[in-house]
Amino acid sequence: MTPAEIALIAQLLSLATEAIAAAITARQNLGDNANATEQANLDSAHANFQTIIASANKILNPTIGA
Amino acid sequence: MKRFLLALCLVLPLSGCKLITAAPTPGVTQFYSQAALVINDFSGILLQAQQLFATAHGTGLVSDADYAAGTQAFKSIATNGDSIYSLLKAGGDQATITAQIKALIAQVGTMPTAFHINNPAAQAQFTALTAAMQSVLDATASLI
Repeated sequence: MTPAEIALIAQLLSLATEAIAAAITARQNLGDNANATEQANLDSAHANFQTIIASANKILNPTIGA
Repeated sequence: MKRFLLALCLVLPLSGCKLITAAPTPGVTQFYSQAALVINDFSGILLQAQQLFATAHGTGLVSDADYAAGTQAFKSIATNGDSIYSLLKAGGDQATITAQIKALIAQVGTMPTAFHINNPAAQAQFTALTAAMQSVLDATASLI
């Protein structure tokens, strides 16, 4: 196994652990009331989704926007 | 005067009840707040997963064809995630939002078939990651 493969697996493991922690936190927060960060969370999510879409478009259609 | 006081005693509790019913329903408010948190968590994890997928391709662990298929899957999931963002931002119908989140959970489950990473351990981790992302989304879907 190459160092690059080991690094990738380590990063994936870390990200999966982070995702599980987020799921646990979300379930623990089910009883909480509305908070002031709702709009900030939505705006952040929108920015992330748009980044993913733009990045995917760049890969799938490299000539667009070049 | 006695009649006035009696009327006042009758009206005050009624107005109190009106105030209570006019307040936001805790469950409704909680749904949007919680869904915003979960969608943000999910979007951040999806973004990192896309970047790691690109790294895997860059190191030769993913073929060009699988990279294109995986990239298309990321784009489709992000597009549907962004639709949920729009519904949440507009205070859309909870049942519709929940249905879309459940559809997104199913769609995330199809991701490993688009990956094909030429390393069993890395492939297993990507599969575990998709299960974790489904679990993140399920936290909101289970609110209703």
